[in-house]
Formats: sequence, structure tokens, C-alpha cells
Amino acid sequence: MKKSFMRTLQVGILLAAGTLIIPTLSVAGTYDLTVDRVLIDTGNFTKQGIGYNGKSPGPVLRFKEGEDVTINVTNNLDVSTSVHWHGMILPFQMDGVPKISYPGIEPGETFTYKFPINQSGTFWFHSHSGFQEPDGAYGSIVIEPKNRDPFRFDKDYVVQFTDTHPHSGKRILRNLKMAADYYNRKQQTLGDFFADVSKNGLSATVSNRMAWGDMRMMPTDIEDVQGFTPLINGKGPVQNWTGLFTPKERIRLRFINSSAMTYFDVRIPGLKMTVVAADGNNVQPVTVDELRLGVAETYDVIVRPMDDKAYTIFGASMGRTAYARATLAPRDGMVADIPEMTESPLLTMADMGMDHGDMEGMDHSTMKGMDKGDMKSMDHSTMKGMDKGGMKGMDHSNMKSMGKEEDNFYTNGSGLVPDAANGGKFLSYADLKAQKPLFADREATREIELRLTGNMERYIWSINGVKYEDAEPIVLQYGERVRFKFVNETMMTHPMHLHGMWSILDVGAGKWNPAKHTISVAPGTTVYSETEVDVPGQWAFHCHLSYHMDAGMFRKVVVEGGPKTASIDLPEKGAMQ
Amino acid sequence: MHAEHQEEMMMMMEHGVLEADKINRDMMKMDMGNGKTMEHNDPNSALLEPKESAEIIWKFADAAKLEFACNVPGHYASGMMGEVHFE
Repeated sequence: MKKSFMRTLQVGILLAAGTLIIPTLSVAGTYDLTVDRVLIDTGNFTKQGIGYNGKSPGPVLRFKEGEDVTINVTNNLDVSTSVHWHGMILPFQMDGVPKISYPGIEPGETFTYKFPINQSGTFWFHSHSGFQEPDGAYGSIVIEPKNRDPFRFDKDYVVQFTDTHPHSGKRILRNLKMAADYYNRKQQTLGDFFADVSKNGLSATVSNRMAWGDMRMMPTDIEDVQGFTPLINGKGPVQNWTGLFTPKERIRLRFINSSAMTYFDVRIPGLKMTVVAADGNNVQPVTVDELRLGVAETYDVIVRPMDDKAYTIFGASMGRTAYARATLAPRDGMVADIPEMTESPLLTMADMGMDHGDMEGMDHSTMKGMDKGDMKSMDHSTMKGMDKGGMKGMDHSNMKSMGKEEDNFYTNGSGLVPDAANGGKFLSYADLKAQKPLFADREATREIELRLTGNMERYIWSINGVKYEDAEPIVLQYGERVRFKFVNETMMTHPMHLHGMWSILDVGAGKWNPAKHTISVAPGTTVYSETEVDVPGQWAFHCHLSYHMDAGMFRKVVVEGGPKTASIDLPEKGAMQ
Repeated sequence: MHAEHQEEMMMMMEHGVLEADKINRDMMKMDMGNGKTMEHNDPNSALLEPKESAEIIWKFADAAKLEFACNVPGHYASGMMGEVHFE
């Protein structure tokens, strides 16, 4: 940590009259962050980027629950900046979103954030201005709980992922707007076409290709932006970030995905991971072999290596175009094998999410040829049999023959359903149950439908068909409990992030539904989350994929009513920069 | 030593015997086939709901090094275990 990063502790002891001595601890920390131009070296390439205190990623900010923090952020850039504390519950003026929380921080200015810390766990921070976050402006937050956590660990490491691209964020968006497939290096080729013709016949192959063409997408559209180098704690796969341990120690790994666009399937061959927290909140522990780390999500896991050897932390990007790699080892310099990436998934017609009614009418019997090991063998032409009238013929038992455990957070027949590389347990949202629910369970007062919409070829992303600059804010009433219905009508996965309030993800566990800050919605699925509207102010609500957010999948949320002290000084409506 | 018991408790969890804050004791007699039940009646263990307490009395004829643990799925792995040495 840099020297400019300071912390002061003020401990006040109050002596009461008489024989009683009542110590009161008031903990207040002051932290300094500078926003700087930095060089980022991924091992594959070096680029100009943005960091904090002279480095990208920025420091780990370590707070304590109950502390009142003061954070001085000084902008050393020649453009405006901002810092958003992702997942933190705080007054809206401290939330760090330009034009919603405050005007932003101008070049040369210092903005002082002050807010109380009333939560604990793993969070992160990043710029909410332009494409500064994909350009490197992110760091992590670790908050020690007031009372001890209901799990034990000897070592504690932040494991922060990102997808560093040689191009600047601005240039990437420009290219995507010009040609949505600009960064899709996995396009089906003429060679694939002839291979499919020999396998499936000419007419089937042609009609399949035409169907995808009509839908303005390709089966390989899993990652809009390829060509990046995944980093863990700022280190590329070759640079190999290493966390040390002594055999039999329990290690707490705080996985954070600070990527602009990339989901990672994370595993540590040879170790089981016990998931103890999701998005900062403790969950009932669940032991898995692999998990999918969505953009902006965090998961805390505990691992216990018993042997005196190295283990690889391996994060394959969801589209399998690149992998992140780090190491846990008893001694520096020890390495373990780097596993092969499992086969790249291909989107299926089911992931199109064009029409849910159609999907339910799908005749699964035609899908028997589907084999998880070889999605390419799937014959899309047989899907022409999709027929709304055929719904009665739906037979879930056939789905089992696909060899995948059903996960309701993916649409039936989805090509994206993850499989653990070792055939073991892959974490599902359905496994997440709150350790200690933050809110009493109650019926939502109303439902708000948010259709996630877009036009891939024009690279426009929107909510309910309207992009941010044309949309009215979502108005919530203080004290209500709103049920959000996310209907993903696109073929991309969207990590939806509501600022300022928790999103209680409906996993069907009633009062144990976990509170998250980011809800990943897979193509063709409908996902519900509920929010107790317990803070006044105005907040951002958006897809956390940087280029989707910028292209319009964004809303302002205004909370009306509530404590008077938080009167809102509404800046004029304006687009995100 | 605890692995087998963890399997039994996983089964109890999957069948709804164990919930996060309560135990459905009436389901514990369910016949699981192969002579298995979910009664959790081994003399070296106790099954407690929140705020309950119980006693286990041990007699040691010999010196022993043992682990004691909670085998509810995920609990052992997240650290709800300890060692006891009798000399």
C-alpha cells in the first residue's frame, strides 16, 4: 500500500462519574486516494490506463463495521472522474455517480466522501465516469465485521479479476458501434459451413444460418469484446499472482469480478471451495467445485489445501476466449499445472429468448442428439418444430438426457448452463441462501417489469426498449417493497446492479433468499428480485457490462418520501457521460 | 472420520429434515433403503436446533486424538471443528 494511503484511528474513552467507567469506542478512519494515469503491464502487452495511488488495481481499502470513514479522493487526471463504492449502503450523495449523486470530481479537485460503515464483507470500488473502470480504475474493499464471522480462516486474500484490453474503452465502444462483431474472433467460418453441410445436409445448414442471421446474432455471441488479457490482482496469467499458505490452513479467498465485460468460471483443481458469502453477505455455506463469477459480483470461499504443493486458481472466461490464472502455494515460485479450458459453449436457439411461449413449446424429443460435450452437433434445423401448440408435449424428463442438472437460472436447452470441469458441483444461484436475512420476509407491495432489450447489430442496449437518455426515471416510494421482474429478451447475459439498496434474489427460498447487489440474468430467462426501499435519494440502476451500460441499459431510480433530512437537490436530467 | 457422517447430514438436508433454523424430527424415521435412516442417533453426536443444548458423555479407556465437528453440509469446511487430545 502506498504511503499516501493513511489511516488514523481515534479512540475516545469516556469517564463517567462515580465508580462506573464506560469506555466508548468511536472509530473513525481517514483514507486518501489519488486518481492517476498509470501504466498497466499484463505480461502480454502494456497500456496506458487509470489507477489509484499510482497503481491499477488500486489499494485494498480495509474498513471496520461501525467505523465512520472519510475518504479524500484527489483527481490527478485531465478529465472529470468519480468513485463509486460498489455494494455499499450509504447516503446517495456519497454514491459517486456523476449527474445522479453529485457532479463528479473535476481535474485537480479533491472530493471528500464521508459515510458510516454499517455492513461487513467483500466489496469493491470503481470509477463511474466514462470508461475509466475498464481502463483500470478499480480497487477492493474489505470490511471486518463487528462480531466474528460464522466461519474460520487463517489466511485472507482478495482475488480480484478483470479483463484488460489493449484498446481504450472509448475505442472499443466506437468499434462495437461500427460493427457489433468487431471483437468476435470466434465467428463461424466458411469451413464450419461446409463441415455442417456434410454433417447436417445443405438445406438444414442454410436454413440454420439464415435463422441466426434473421436474429441479428451468432451462436458465438457470448462475449462481445474478445482479445483481452484476464488479470488477477493486476497480474496476467504469465505474471501469476501467488498467495502463500501453510498446508492445512484455511484460506479465505475474496473473489471479485471487476471486469468490464467478462464472466469467469472459477475453479481450483484439487480443492473444493466452500462458498460462505455472496456480494458481501454471508450465505449458508455450500461446497462446490466451480462457480461462475458474474461481472461486478463477489463470492467469498474457503479452501483448505492439505498438501505441501501448489494449486492453480483458474478462471476461464465464459466464452472460453481467455483465462485468468493465479496460484496458491506453500512457497513463492511453486506452480501447478494450468488446466485446459473446457470447450467453448455455443448459444442455442433457447438462449435467443425471442419468445418464451415458443420455447416452452419446443419439442425436446428432437434434442436427444444434444450432447453436452459437443454442442456443435446440435441440429438447429430440428428446432423449426417449435410450436406454441405443442406445449402439452413438453417433457422435462427428456432434459435429463442432456446430462445437465437443471438450473432454473438458465433457460431450458441453454448452451450456457455451466458444467464443472471435473464433473462435480457447479454453484447455482439456487444454492445461495442467506445466513442471516437482512430483512423480514414480506409480500412485495408491487411488481415492476424490466425487459432487458437490445439490438446487437446496432449495439443499442435498453430497458423496456428505451435507452437511458430517452427514459423517465423509475420512481419508488420510501417504505415499499418492490419486486423487480427481469425479462431478458436478448442473447447476452446481463449483470443488473441497483445502487444504494439490496436486491433480494428470489431463489425460491422465502425468508432465506439472499441479498445481493448484482443480479445476473441469463438469456431467455426471467429472474425476480425484491428491494426494500429503505433509503431516500436517487440512484443508478444498470447493466454492469461497461459497454451495455454506456449504450443505454441504464435507469435512474428516484425514491420519493422518507426522512426529511435527505432532501434531494435534483440535478437536471442528463445522459451518463 | 467425519466424512461418512457428512454424507448422512447432506441426505438429511436434501430431504428437508434439516432446515436452516429448524429440524423436522418427524421425517427422521424415513426409510432411506439399504438399512439407512436419518435418525441421527449415534451416541457420539447430538442434533440441536438454535438455542437448544445437549450433553454427550465420553469415557476414554485410552489416549486419543480426536476431531469434534459439526457435520451439517458446509459447516466443517468453513471451520466448525476442533481437536481434542486425551493423554
